[in-house]
Amino acid sequence: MRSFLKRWSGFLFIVLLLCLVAIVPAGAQENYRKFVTGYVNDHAGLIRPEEVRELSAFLAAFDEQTTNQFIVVTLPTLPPGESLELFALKLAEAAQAGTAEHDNGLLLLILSEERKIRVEVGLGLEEKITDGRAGRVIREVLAPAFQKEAYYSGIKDAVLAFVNWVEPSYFPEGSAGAARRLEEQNGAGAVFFVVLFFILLFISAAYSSRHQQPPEGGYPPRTTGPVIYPPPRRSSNRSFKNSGGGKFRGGGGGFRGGGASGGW
Amino acid sequence: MRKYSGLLIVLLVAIVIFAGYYNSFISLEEKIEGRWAEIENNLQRRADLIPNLVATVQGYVTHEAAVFTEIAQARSRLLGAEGVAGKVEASSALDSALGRLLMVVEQYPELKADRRFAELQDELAGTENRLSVARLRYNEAVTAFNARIRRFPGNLIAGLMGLERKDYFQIKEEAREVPKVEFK
Repeated sequence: MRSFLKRWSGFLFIVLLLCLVAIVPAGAQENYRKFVTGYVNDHAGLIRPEEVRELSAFLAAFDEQTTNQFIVVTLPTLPPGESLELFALKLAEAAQAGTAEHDNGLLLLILSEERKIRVEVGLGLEEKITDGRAGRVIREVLAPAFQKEAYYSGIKDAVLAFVNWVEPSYFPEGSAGAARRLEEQNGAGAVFFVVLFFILLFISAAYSSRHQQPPEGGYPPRTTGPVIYPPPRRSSNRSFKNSGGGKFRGGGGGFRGGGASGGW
Repeated sequence: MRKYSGLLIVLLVAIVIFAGYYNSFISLEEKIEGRWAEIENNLQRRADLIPNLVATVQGYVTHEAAVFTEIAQARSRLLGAEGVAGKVEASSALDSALGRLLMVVEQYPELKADRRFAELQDELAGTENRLSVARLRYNEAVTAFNARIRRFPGNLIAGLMGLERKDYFQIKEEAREVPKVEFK
């Protein structure tokens, strides 16, 4: 009996392995993952390096404090044989933006030569950033700015609008009013406040991402600096892998094709 | 004991193989069900959006009664349709009716400039996109299932379990074409 088992155990093992292999699908996501190394991936060269750093620091801080992962990707054109919607979906899925629990990721994809924009909204954010709102940001924030070649201000304002819809309390009272005005109208006054507010916000984001080294088990009391964030809600046990350099690591968020497409 | 041990091993291997296939069939079927539910959600969502869209369009467009009737009919057919084939059929009828409506809209610049209408169109486009993603994922799951139940030795076990090939969610060719509208 024992010798039989010995003889057959190899075969049995192979059978078991085959069963396993058949169930686990092979992933081919590396082709897409290479486009997303940081929070802001400007492959088309639309914005300046310091602007990339500034926005990355802001998005990394936003991720740390709220777990929402927003990423920006610019490319000159789509890879051959890809459609805008499907490519954006595959990119977002490969990056796994958002947490597996909340699916709170967002991808802003800009194709500079084709002059196309896609906002891909994670499953968990679809209620807050409806397709209509995503489309409105493209039509009323991104497209007008891009027509004037003001790429950075357009992207910033769009990110601000998304942040404000997803975490309204992320901005302090008062400035939030100005930010919210984007929602109703994109008038000159609102833009002024938004720009002013953004300058403050980015200074603070850069400041906090440089200086915040939270100890095990919680945050230090906030005493210095222009701290305008609300206290973190879910971040007590969150690792700070993304802080500083703006290197992006997806949390496993899912997408199903929500969002909007447009152009300028 | 020694006489039967060979037989025992063979039996054991057979059971392991059977269990492996059985479980994978079940999980593949579950996956298909889940993805079909996603398709149905999006079909429902689209059906819910249409009355809003039609109401907005009717604020500007008063002469194209035929298009509105066609959409209303296609919509109620979709809501009443059953099974994969029935829903595919009803869904492509609604597609072409909606295509006609959007052609009509082209003639009304002030409607195209309407913010509410632009957003409804985004919602509709988003739902269409979600639907095509759901369709893709559903078809992938069906492909995996169909291939697995037809290949040896899965086909023997599938036969024992009484499993049959699942239908794909296919769009008919004519539904993809842009519908032609004549203005009289």
